[in-house]
Amino acid sequence: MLEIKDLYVKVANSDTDIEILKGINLSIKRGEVHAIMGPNGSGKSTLSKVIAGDSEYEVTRGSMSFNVNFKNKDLLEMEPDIRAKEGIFLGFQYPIEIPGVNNIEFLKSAFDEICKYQHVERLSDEDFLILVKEKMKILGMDEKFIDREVNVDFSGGEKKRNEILQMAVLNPKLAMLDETDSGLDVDSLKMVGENIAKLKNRNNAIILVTHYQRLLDYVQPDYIHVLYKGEIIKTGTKELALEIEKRGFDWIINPQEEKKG
Amino acid sequence: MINELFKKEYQESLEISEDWLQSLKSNSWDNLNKNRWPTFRKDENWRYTNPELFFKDIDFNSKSNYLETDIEKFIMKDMINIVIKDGKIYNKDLDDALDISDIWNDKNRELLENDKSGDNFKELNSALFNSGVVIRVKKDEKPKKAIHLIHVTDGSIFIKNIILLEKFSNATILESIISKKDGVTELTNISTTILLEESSKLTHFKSELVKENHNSFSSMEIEQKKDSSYTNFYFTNGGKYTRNEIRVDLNEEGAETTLNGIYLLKDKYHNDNSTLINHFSPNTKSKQLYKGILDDSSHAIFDGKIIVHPDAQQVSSEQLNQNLVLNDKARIESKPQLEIGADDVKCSHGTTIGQLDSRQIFYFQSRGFSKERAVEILSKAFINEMLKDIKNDIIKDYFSVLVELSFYK
Repeated sequence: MLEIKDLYVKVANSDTDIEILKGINLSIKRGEVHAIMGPNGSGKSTLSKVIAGDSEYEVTRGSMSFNVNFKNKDLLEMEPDIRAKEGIFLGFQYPIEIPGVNNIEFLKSAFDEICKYQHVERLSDEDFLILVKEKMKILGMDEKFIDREVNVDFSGGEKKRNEILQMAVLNPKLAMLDETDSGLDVDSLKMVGENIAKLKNRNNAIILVTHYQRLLDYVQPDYIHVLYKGEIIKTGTKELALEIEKRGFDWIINPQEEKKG
Repeated sequence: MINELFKKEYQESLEISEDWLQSLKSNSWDNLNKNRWPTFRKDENWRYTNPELFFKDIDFNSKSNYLETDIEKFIMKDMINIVIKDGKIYNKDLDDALDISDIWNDKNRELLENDKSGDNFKELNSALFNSGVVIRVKKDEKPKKAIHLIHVTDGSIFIKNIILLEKFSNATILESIISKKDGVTELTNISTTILLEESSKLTHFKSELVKENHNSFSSMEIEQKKDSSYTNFYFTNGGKYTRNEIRVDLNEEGAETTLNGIYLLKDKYHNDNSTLINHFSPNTKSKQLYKGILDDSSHAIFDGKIIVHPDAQQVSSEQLNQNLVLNDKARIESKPQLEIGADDVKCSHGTTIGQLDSRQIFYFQSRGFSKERAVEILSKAFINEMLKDIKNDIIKDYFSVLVELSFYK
């Protein structure tokens, strides 16, 4: 579904040539869950934003292709909204507040844009409202969030649930969830985790960007990638996450010192 | 030089006037020739707008080519419609609370004689006006519906309106200027005097739907007595060269005024909002909010002056000007000014000039909205916030449509 080859990335419009991502290779197939872990500042968030098309970053080398219905599409040639319409979803680490824009109207317009692009029949306002209310109920979201302004005066946890609500409604092929688990209390984490697990199926794929193993209790990853200083320095299976939980990242980053100690 | 341009117009305007009006007009014409026109860049109030440009290449033919069916389109349901065409009241709905007459009617002689002289724009208007209306809202009365004052014009026109609210009266007025002539440059010069007696209340909406060849100079003078309340809501989507001047005199205690303005500019449009609020008395309040969006190489000016005169204690005054600049070539000059002569006052003013937040745009894009769509939605949200407080539903819907149309490409 997603093929990333030898990807180098720097901050756009900056004078420095310091690369934040240095030669990333990643292959994600449908039905898979990948977790990207690593210490702060290792480039985890950057990777998901670059896949979504954030213009704050510039790809200096490498390729990214997205395979839909057996057709390979060059992501680097696509505007962010086209990527979204093709089925790429980014759950933001810090969801953006949009004053003056109604939450459900925003979601309905996004839904319509994507349906139109994918030649899928749109829903009537009534049916859409039923769909949203149903999803909100499962997520434990109060219906008052329907008529609120997008993310305005939402608590941290409410913002994260709103992201998952959008994901549930927009039904992406590839969902990237950037630290969706941070800032959540134990109960919220459980609810969000269980819902992500429910949204996973044979045909879609999920990338979880996270510091911690705890979200992975709910969503079983097929692969764990450890990102450090812009490179994937280790790839393993879910056992790797458990080990990181116990031992931290140091033993992967500095294997020599770890042995000495 | 400007005066020469209007010599023929002046003669014509005299010919159609009664004797008493002739003498008022010739008086203004004399003042005009004695005074000097403000100088671009040199006069403080004319630093960014060139007074001469209002008169450049204008066409003087002010006969309207509107048919009755055209005019019907502008009539709004559930409002008291007053249509002014070719200098006369063409059509008016009736209401017992109102007395509506043509400006040049003999019964308005005293009002016109008492109308203050002013700068050359005002004197030019007073010498040349060929159209206008006096609306008097009777004591203790409130019309059953909002008033819709429609000026239908083709070509250049000088309009003088006087709105008088007697004690304890209350009214809502929507003023529209409609023009459809293509090809030639036209000038609309409107001078409006608003007199608010004790405890009267006026909510005044004004929309300027003009075209790329339209110059407009509007000046409003609002005189407020004890406990009166005035609210102005102005909307413009541009015009070639436009200036909207408002002066409010809060003459007696308890008078309150609110000025709101929206300017949505594109192309090479030039729009200048100049406001002056005089707090002459204690316990007076003023509040101003002007919001604009500037696209292409448009140019906007907000020049807002508040003067709290000595002894006007316990005054509260707020002023805010917010601008969204969508194009590098667009320009905004924002000049808030505060002169305070009393010590026990609460005043605040501020200006913001910015672009849309790129984080917000990316958030929209990541949900499948094109960049253009994101910009449109965010811009509308910036403006629509101002419409929330409009109490009259018909006018609120109308202003929403105006905003919507301004974004339609």
